[in-house]
Amino acid sequence: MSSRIVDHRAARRAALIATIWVPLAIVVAAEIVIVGVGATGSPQLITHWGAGSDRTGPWWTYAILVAAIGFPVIAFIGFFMVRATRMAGMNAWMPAIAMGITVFHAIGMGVGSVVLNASPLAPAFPLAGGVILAAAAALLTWRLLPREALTTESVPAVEALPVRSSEVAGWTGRLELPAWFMALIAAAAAVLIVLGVSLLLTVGPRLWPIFLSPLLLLLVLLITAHVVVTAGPHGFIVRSAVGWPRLHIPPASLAKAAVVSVDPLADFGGWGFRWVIGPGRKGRWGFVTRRGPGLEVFRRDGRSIVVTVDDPGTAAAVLESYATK
Amino acid sequence: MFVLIDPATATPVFAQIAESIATQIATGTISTGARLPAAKVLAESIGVNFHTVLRAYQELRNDGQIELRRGRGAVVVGAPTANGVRVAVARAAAEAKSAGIPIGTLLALVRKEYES
Repeated sequence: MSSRIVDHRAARRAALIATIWVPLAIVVAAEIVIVGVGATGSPQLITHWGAGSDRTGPWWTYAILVAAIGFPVIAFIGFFMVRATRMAGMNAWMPAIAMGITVFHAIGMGVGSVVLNASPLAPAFPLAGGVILAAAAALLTWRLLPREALTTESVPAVEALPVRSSEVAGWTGRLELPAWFMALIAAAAAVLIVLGVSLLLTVGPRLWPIFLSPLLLLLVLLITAHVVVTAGPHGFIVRSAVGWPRLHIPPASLAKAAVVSVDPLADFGGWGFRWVIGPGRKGRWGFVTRRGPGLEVFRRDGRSIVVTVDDPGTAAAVLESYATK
Repeated sequence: MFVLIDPATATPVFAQIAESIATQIATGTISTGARLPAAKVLAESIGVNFHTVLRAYQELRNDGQIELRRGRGAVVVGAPTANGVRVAVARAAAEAKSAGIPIGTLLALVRKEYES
């Protein structure tokens, strides 16, 4: 039993089916069973939560529970899976998680609790059984989902700039994250600081580590606020305004430069400085701030750097004239 | 921003940088209000000394093409609409070509007209 190797679109289709359609079918099937049992059995069922002794509730408590967990979870994971076109075929963990959560709450907690309600096996049996079933479903999804064929996506290199041997061509660009993204990080940091101060005043100074996370956010803000890109005889450099992180491809290891279409969420899972395993199973660094055309610069070993600069064509042409073929 | 220089020619490098930027301002490739890269960054991209770029920026400021502001760096100010000039220059260049006049002569003629 192992994963088949298929092309990108087939892998993506299978991943989307496993993330959205199969869990959706499981939730609907669970609802049918719960409604069937509820409509024919006793109108009051034991709900195994709450403090103290077991309480009872109407059978549709379980129907609502399964729907209230099932649909948002599928919508949430499905949303990211739909956007993650590149990662879809390579990472089976998102479909596996979607499947595991669905099986646990819909079949274990939902159907199991309703069917075995009056039995002495409840609630331990539905819960334990749900965990085992969920783990099995997740593992099966992980193993059976077809994987994407390992092909290096062949992006055509840009034509080199006609530079005479005595001439020197250089290009500079800059990148800024969208204002709303920066505002979001700043707001999160502010909320955490206010929360930290109020907790510090009520609980005591031993809570100081609570300031580590807003500090980290502000650090992220500092190094991603402004990023500078240069291309020229020195090769290719991407660095933040404070100087770190700094990515450099010297001309000796510069293979080619290309204009590519970038989708931050799909290609890198987010914005800012990112590192992913690229389409060719090679490390792919990115500083991505928006959707649209970007510059991808390849090292001779296949690793690459992606930046969403304006006018990527000129930058690529300059780099091509310094690339080592 | 793209800059092309040729250190092997007689024209000093700072003047070549200034000319390269001025041309792009005139053709609209660099628009009014745009921020030029920091001198350090531009110097890195073409492998020249940072003071060479600063001198080019000073040249552009003296020509009224850019403003140098503390904190904001070099900002392109409203350049005179160069479109009419561009059309006239294109016509002059075409005429010079068809008459077999070399570029040096054309440039000398332009300079003489401008300074008279």
